[in-house]
Amino acid sequence: MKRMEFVLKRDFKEKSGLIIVAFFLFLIPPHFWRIIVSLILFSYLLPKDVEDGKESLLLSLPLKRWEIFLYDFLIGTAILLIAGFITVGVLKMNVTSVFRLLLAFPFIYGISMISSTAGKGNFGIPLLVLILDMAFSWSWWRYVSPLYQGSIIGAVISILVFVLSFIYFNKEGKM
Amino acid sequence: MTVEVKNLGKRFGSVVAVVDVSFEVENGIFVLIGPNGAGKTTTLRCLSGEITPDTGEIKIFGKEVKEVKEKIAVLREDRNVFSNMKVKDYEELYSLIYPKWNPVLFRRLVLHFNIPGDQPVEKFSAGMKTLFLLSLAISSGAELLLLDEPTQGLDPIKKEEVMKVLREVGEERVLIIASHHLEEIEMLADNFAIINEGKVIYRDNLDAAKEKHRIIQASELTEEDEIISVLENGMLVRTEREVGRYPRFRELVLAYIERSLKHFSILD
Repeated sequence: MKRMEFVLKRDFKEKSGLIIVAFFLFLIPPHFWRIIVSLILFSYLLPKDVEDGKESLLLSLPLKRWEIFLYDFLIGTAILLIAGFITVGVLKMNVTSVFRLLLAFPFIYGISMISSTAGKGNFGIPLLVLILDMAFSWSWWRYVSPLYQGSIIGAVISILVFVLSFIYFNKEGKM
Repeated sequence: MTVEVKNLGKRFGSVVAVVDVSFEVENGIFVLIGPNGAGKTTTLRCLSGEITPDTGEIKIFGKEVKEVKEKIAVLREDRNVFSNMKVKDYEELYSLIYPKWNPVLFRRLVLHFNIPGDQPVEKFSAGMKTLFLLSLAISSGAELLLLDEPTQGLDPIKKEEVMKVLREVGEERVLIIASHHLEEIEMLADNFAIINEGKVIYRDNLDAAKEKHRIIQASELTEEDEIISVLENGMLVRTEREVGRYPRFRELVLAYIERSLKHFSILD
């Protein structure tokens, strides 16, 4: 638990501005607005560290690769979930809307991790994926979209991308 | 054995960083010496668990690196630091991940090196970052310290202070230092390994190495002597004879590097 506390405190000390802004912006309800806010937050957690070469700084400390990957995801998820449940309580929004977002988070984090691990930046490619997803959301794509989460297929794709991103991050680090 | 490295190899894409590095460290201060790009930093990165070697084996305290990371503290060559953090923030974070963190020692070192507590660490000068990160590594309580160029960016007075501190630390804990500053190494090291082009080309105890070699003139050479390299003021030979004079450490290191360059072969 202390290692998770380290990652949490490090994130809050280094990226407090981003976390606070993301938290408040996430209180605004529309689904795709919240997806954009999630993208901003997740891509500036570990993916940004990978982009800046700071993940090697973390790995030279008593932290394991899977720990920094998973803990950063859990921290981002927890921050957004708290904001999400506030809107459920205050704005009387449907809990399902928060769970749909929750299922999209692994995809957002995973895409950003894959992009930054491949040296293609932490934000640009994930943003492009998000725009493409939105552009096709009027069609059948909505039912398989990992961001819209219109069916179970979207959830499966989201988790698959997350797992693949972890495998890729682990493999690249060994090079 | 505290550290055992066997046939370590590591490449980054098409770049071969380390080909064949082997050494053992029991205690005291062990120094990896070599020119820039020799493979010292890559070796330390493998030892710290930051990267995984492609070939070979590393055992630290008889275990895999990932099992003993809490016993290892690192001073990285790039002096990369976290953003928006001051000295007290680092102290709080390090105390979470190093079970033997020593706050008293840390504060003593911060005071001794005049490290400013009111500035973000990323704004420190290069030398101040070295002193700060070194203070963190020492105070971590880790039993193995991996220090990459620990006097980098320091003025002569601070260098001397750091050397004194490292000698004290080396009496209780194991230090593996990567450096190319030969005079400093000579003052610090108990044992050393010379690395060039990703290979260990010579390793020994500092005093034993000097005793095994002599600087002689060509006329003094016999068949018993193994020529290491020809220097400006004679030749360095490995011999058991009482002849010529003992080499200086600098001569010994340069002669071995010179020899490894001359003997370079694509078939090695």
